[in-house]
Amino acid sequence: MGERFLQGVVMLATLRSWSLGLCLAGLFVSPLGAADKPTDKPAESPAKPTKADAAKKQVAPKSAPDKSSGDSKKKAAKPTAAKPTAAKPTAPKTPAADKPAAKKSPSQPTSDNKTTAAKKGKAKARAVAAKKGAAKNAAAKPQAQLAKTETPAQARAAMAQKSAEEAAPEQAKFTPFPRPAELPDPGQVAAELDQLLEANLKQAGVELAPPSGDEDFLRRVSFDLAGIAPSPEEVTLFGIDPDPDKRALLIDRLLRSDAYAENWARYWRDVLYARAVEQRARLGQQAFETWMAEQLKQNQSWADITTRLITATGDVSKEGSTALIYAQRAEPDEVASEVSRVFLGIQLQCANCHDHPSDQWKRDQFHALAAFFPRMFVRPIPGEKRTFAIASFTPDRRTGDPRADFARMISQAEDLVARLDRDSDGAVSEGEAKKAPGPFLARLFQQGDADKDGKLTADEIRKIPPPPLRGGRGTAEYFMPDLQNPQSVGTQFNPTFFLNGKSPGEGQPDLDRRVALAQYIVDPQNDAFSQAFVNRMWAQLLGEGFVMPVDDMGPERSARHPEVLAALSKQFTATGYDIRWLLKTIVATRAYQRQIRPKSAAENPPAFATALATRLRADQLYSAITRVLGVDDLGSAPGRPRQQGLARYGDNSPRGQFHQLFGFDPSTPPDEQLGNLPQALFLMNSTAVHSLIAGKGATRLSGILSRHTDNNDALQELYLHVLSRRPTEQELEICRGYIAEVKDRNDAFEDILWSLVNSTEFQTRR
Amino acid sequence: MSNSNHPVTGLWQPSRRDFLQATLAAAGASLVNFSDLRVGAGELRPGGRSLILLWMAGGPSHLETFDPKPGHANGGPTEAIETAVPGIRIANGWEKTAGMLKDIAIVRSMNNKEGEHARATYQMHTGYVPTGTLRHPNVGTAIAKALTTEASDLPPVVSVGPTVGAGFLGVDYEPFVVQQPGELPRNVVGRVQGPRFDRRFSLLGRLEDQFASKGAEAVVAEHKQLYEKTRRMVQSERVKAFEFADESNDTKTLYGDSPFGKGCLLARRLVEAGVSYIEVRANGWDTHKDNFDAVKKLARTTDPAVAGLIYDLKQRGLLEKTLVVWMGEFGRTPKINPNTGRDHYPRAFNALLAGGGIKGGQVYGATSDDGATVKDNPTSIHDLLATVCKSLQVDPSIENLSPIGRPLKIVDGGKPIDALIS
Repeated sequence: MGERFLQGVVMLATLRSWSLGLCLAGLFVSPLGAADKPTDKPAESPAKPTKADAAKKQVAPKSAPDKSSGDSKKKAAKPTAAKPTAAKPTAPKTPAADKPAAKKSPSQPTSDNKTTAAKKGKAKARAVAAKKGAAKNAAAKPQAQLAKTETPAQARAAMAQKSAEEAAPEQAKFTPFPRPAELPDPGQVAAELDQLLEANLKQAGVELAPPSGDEDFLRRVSFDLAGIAPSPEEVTLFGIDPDPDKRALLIDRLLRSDAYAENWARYWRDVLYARAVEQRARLGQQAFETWMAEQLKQNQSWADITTRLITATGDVSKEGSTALIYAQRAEPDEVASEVSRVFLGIQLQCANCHDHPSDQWKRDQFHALAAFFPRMFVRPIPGEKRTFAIASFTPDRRTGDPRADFARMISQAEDLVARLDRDSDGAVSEGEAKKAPGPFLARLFQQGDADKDGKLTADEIRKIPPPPLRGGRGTAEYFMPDLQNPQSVGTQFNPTFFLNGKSPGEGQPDLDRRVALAQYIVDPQNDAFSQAFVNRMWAQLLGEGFVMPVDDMGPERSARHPEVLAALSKQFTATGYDIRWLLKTIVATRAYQRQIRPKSAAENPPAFATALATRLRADQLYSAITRVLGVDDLGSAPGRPRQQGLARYGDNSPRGQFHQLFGFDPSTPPDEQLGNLPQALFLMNSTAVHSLIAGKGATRLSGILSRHTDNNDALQELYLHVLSRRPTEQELEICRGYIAEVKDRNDAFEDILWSLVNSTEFQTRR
Repeated sequence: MSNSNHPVTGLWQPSRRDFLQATLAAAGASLVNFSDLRVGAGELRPGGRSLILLWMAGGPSHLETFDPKPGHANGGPTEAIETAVPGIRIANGWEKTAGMLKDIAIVRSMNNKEGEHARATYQMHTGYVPTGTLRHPNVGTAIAKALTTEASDLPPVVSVGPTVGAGFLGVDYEPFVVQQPGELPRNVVGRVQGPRFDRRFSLLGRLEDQFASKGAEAVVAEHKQLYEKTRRMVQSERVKAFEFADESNDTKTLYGDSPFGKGCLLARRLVEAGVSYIEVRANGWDTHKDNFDAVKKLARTTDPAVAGLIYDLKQRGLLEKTLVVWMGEFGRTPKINPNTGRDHYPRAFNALLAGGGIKGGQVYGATSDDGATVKDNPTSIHDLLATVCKSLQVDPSIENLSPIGRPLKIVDGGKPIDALIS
């Protein structure tokens, strides 16, 4: 499915990005050039690891021993940690490849053999050598030895390429979620679900829509699983295939296809980027798509994918797993909201400012979740343009934690003056201020000197307003803002997971916090994790979920058919969160395979009694339209759109531009996924579509017209191409009448193809 | 256009001759088509009222715009200049706006608590705090809904640059986003026009019915509604309002040759063509660094556009019924930061109102000498939005139903500021 980047695309520079504009993310696209600049360039440079940084890390309580043998005198790694933590073998001078990165037991019954970390060749060998758990505090010695025996060459290389090393920060280590040797039979589970569901529906006196015919099923399942429409040949062959298992076989084939991985990678890209607060988030889009497709192709468990997304570090344009964090600018509160929304189906962000109005969540719980994320930040990569890295911040005495340090400075104003006041005039001069611990006093001197006498008294120091608190830079700890006094430092919070009350403890390093949170989330005891995914997939495949919207499930929302959701979620957890198994099971249900059915105006049909027609996602529509028109890409039309502001950060391929026009947030319920004027204008009037629906030249239609002199035959083939079905007798009649009325066969067929491409049905999954 | 300065104040004043030239040129050009379009615009909006929001994205510093504090350390190098209204002084760099101040009310007492761009932008536009479950409509779209009685050929809401959408008001009021003011929006002109377009459009309708009858009524109905709207726009003479072909050079110069200036000119043309709500966005106001140079540069394009728009609307007799609002999501810290910048500051900021039913030539509210706190007549977002509604004769307590049937007022809370309304 590679698409060429064609210069000279006519499409959509004028049009807004993403979503229908119903989404706030649209706000971040600049129309007129200069944009609000996010602050990724740390003004106070807490970013750069320094020697002091490393030293501090080594003595930090509970951080695992450092294997860098550089500063040996400070190497008093305390083996005091009572609880196991993931290893923290980070020292600035240690080359990335020299870390026991992927800590993976070969005995794990999983296909997980390509963690991003393990891809770094040598790390892989090491990973096997260093046994699972060895990275924990007891392993100081072996690691140090390994470092000695293996590193010289690498160390030299690393010295030579400091920037490369900086671009590859430490990777998280975690144990892949265990997978069972055998999976329950999807067909059988599907039948059980149907039984539960149909018992409910029958009790409610609802008549079920009949099973879909082969044509509808083939088109639906092809779009749903693989993101593409079936070809006319497939439609015909599937229809005449007498095999009673043909649907199951088709499902299998689709789930094994590359298109499956691509389709769902794009789906998840839309989910994560739709709510991006980082304007340039799309820098990482391609990397995410590639990475996610690879995870799906390998059928990595949802637990492991989740863990990687939560614990990602590295170059955002290379490490696709950084997408979620980078899209939220690594800001603790934004990432917390998104993690809760995407993985738990819980909208916690309302509790950012106040206790949740309708759910039970408290403001403290939200901020305790955000407290898992204070130490990560986005930083530029030296020598590299147009990319950034997600890195871990490690506090040390010099860079400190700006907020805590500032708070300390204010609270100790008297002591500070006493200590710094060399000339004993009761105040601190500008020269004296430079000797203060931390950068603040010197930096804020002018601002603090209210009476402009060139000196700061203790009183003046106390009144210095705190420096702006900006997220995304990494701080040692998380502070809940004081809404009454937004300028103040706020209240420090320790990480605690609101669903189980667990905490990794105070003062933990970045990755230890994030790995701990991921473990709490994917814990089989945590029903929310499994249910959120099951509900989301079910909704995506059936057009509505047990709970809608899929990213706002509760806890005080009641599910429809809760026992079906519970049963399927339980099985999904038992499979070790096997995505392919789940999709296979859902599409095997009778509920999935029903027809869409006319609903009487009075009736609001209960969920899942009938199939629902829903909009195709932008990528599905793009695949459909290019296939129908017989081209690899739209956009051979002249006239290149002008680059507008941040559009340059996006995917500028024809598909990317099409996506900017037709994309929407897949987490919004289908009845809110409405089309808009620019979309209709594009399909109706664009040069790209106009030139491709022509009846003359090297087009699809011209081929059909010259192959079939009989209009009925031509119409049959046209319908098979565009709608993956044969036309009904009525439709043939309408079209024949139209051809007779227009007289010019070529014009008439162009109009018919135009109508079909612009029809609801073409843009809908039926 | 020769911009003459006022003999006494030295302020910029468009001369009578400039005005005549501008209008004659416009009238001459519009003989071709455009004047016809204006006729009838009134029918779409019985009150003939419309709203233009000039959105300063990033949060403009009040101290470098309309609430300067010369003489105080917080004021920085910014100076205050006289305006057309004796006693009212604004920051230097805004000389043209100063010249129009008789028509402008400055609100210096805006205050809010939200200091984050996206959330504050949402609040300032909708009057509600963002939530995950409900998308509130941009107040402008709700006002457009109240002002627009009949389906127009043009979308009732147009935004130059992205903005907050119509939320649960749905597709009908969703802003039609224009990125290149002065050009026809893309794909508005089709390669197939006239009878053939009508013919294929009716074929589409007949084929749609087939799909609808199979159980897709709901999606087909929505799709048809969208396509009907699109067809009306494509076939409307009014789309010419998006192009400036019939504008005189003088008029174009009046607004300044900048994207924002073009956006403002487009706004005036769309008001004439019957659009109820137009938003024009200017980026770059998030001046954490080098605030003073940055605002100076921004003012060079913003000042002529704001002043030109108000002047032009007035000369065309449109200002009485067109409310122009200038604002951003918050102000900026009065204390100058170590990067000679100013950071986010929601506790005190300012806004401009002109036209509509607004009594110009006044300042409402005041901040303390250091610019840090609101001293007089604190004005909340809700007060401001309620004032916007009232000046356009739209009742802010009109309720719209959310998808789950919850009635939500256009503006929930706040009181219209009577002193601002004439």
